[in-house]
Amino acid sequence: MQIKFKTIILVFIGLSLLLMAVRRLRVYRLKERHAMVFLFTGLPFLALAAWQDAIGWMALRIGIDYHTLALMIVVIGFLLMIIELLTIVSLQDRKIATLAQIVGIMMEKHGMSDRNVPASRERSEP
Amino acid sequence: MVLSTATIARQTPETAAAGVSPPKTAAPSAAAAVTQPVPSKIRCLIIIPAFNESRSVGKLVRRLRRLEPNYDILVIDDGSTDNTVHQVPKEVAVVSLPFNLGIGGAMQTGYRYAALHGYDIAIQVDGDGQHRPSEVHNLVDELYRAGADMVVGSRFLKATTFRQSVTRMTGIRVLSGWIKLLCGLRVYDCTSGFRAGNMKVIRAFAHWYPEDYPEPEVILLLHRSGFKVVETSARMRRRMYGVTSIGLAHGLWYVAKVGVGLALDMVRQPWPRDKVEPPKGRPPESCK
Repeated sequence: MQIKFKTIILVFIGLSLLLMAVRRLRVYRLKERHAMVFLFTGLPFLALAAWQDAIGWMALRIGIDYHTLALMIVVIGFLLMIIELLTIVSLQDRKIATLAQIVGIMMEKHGMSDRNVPASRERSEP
Repeated sequence: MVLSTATIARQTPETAAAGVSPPKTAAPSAAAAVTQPVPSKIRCLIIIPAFNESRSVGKLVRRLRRLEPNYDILVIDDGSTDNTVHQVPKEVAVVSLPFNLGIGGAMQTGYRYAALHGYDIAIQVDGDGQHRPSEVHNLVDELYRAGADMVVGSRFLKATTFRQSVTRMTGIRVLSGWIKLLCGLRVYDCTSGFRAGNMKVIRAFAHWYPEDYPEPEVILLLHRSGFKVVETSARMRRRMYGVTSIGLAHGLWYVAKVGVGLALDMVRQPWPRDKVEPPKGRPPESCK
């Protein structure tokens, strides 16, 4: 009974993660390939919640004596997700910087630089 | 103006103090660089990145215009929240970035502008007034004298009155030694932002430029990519107003971060040859 209750809690957390991913996909209109990163993070969690001995079973199958080492493999999966996310953020950051630079140069070329705005209308401290 | 040898004689603070001629060291990437005269019709752009430098940038620009009337000047207002942009004389070009990109993003904007307008040489001068306008011409001369792709203005090649804190000096020496260890190039003032680069460098930086602490990284990356980087003595002074953004704790973090960044740079290839080689004649995208 105790095990079942724990399973329910873990499945609930896993489902919440998935729901959060789906909600973000809808509300923030995330790109599918970015939302997939969330899904791939949530699905293993859900699987492990439902089948808690999965790690031990997997360790036995591939001949790992210590189950914690098998857990490391799962952690590596999460790290790969993080690397993927950081790559996305980094690329987007560079694109935004490039856009800002081109906007600045174009504004200078067309005499629309901030210098032509009176000092009283300058941008305020964020 | 015909200038002498391309072999760079670097003078260390020790040799300068002792009045000893420095040993001649081979230029980093040139097998046999040829002495080149400074062409009379080169187009030079002075790039001044400025973030909240309203107290110094106007004075700096006026001095530069007086001393170097033939050079164009571009101020990059890196999302300043004071009235930096209004201190720049109307005749000088200003690119106002919509938000703060940091020194790397601001400098790359200047290089993009230089590449777009077909400039031959770009010179970086900090907006805080540390770099003397009277030294700008020396950088350009050295660029041609050494047949180099980039010249770094150094505070430490000759004994000067410029004084740094011990922490800062140590940090610069550590980074300089680290660069030497990684790629074999000795640049004593690797954090100096007083630099001049030719068209190849302009095109390379317009394509890609390190973002956070670009000065030391650029030296290593250029050297690794086969560019010739040399150092020349330049007098500097303390910043006119304001305080430096790098304190003690920040300085230690800076050295650690840049150290790791430099090591990572050893596997980077940021500048493909086709993006860097200047086209024959004037670039087609030239705006002038």
